[in-house]
Amino acid sequence: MRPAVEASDSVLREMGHQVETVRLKDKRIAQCRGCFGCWVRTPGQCIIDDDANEIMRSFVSSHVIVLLTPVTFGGHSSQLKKALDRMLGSALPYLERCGRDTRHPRRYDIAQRMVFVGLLPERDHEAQVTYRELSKMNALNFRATGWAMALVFSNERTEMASIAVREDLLQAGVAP
Amino acid sequence: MRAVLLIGSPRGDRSTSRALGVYTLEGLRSRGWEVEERFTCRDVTTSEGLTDLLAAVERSDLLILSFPTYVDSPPAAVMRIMETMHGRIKRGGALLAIANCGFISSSNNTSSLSICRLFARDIGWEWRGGLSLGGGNVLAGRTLEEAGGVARNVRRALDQAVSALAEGRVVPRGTIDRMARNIVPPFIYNITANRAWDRAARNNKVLDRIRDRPYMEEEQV
Ligand SMILES: Cc1cc2nc3c(=O)[nH]c(=O)nc-3n(C[C@H](O)[C@H](O)[C@H](O)COP(=O)(O)O)c2cc1C
Repeated sequence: MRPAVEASDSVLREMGHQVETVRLKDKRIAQCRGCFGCWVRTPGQCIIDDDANEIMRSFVSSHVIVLLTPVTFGGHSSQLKKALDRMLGSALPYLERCGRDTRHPRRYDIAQRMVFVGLLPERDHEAQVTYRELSKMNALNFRATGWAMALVFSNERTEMASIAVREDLLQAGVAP
Repeated sequence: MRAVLLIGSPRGDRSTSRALGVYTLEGLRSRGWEVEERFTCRDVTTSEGLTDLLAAVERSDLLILSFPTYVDSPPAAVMRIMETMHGRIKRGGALLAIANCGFISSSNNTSSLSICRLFARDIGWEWRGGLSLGGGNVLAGRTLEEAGGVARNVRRALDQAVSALAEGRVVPRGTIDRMARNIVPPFIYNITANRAWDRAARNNKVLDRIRDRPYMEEEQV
């Protein structure tokens, strides 16, 4: 995990971004209750008062969002997922057509790029394919203007992690 | 034979996940299976809950995981249960996953179901299949029987799935395709859903604030 975190931090700084790192394991975040209160009760604001609200502030005001997580069964780990589920209020409830698909409009105007960095113990073709597909769907549904996904394997040299993350960020077009 | 239903929606009793899962479970019960149901979002919050849930899974031949797609994948509580089971489940078993999502196209459940399939692979279980329903909000709060005509196709698909599961077979491709059909025409669904959000906001007296940006930063222009 650490080489990937350090690599993304340094690349983003080199490109002139201010970087805020949120360590989810130190945060108190309840699971989403599925109540849609953030859409139709207190628009844009979750009804639960915990650390997810500060994360929402960062989430909707950053030009680049890097999500770094162990990949579990081809998906985000439950820790990251708990935070992501709470980001529903970053979108509006309305359904709008986008080509052949339906999506929600963004609540905030900011153009954002999303970068996914997944950690796997070793190469695993099926998990890699699934994680790529999930990253793509997330980027489309959060209406990111660019996205990329990199995988880091614990059984490979740490320099590989830095290279993968660096390439990933460049591919997502994170230059300000 | 014994089946356990894990309901992966925090909306519990009133969820579409439960409606789909219970209908399937009842089908198995009527064929002589013993059945039980658990709410993952409740169980995941305490270590006793987790232990009870794992025990229920251990004594079952078939696990039915029925959940809503959240952010293109299973909700956090479901991921957590899968992570926990991965380390702790000792015996073999079989998994059926049922995902429902809010967008009309059931293709929005694709990643959710791939994740479930990989979970089955990683714990060495048999994968009985993944059923996918779009426009899940159409059923919200109703059983499949109460939903009447709009759920006819869903009931038929689940009846077919039960026949296969009861015989220890994988859910056939045709059944999966049947379940995945649009529950109502997409443009009607979108118009109705948009009106329903407005109505809900109006009832809460916040329709004029529905586009509020409580976290708007100063520099964002
Ligand atoms: C936090 C959150 C995230 C959601 N993300 C998605 C999504 O990515 N795609 C989708 O089609 N529906 C999404 N939905 C809608 C639910 O999948 C839908 O309302 C579903 O029918 C709820 O089922 P349930 O009654 O079993 O909870 C989301 C809902 C919530 C609360």
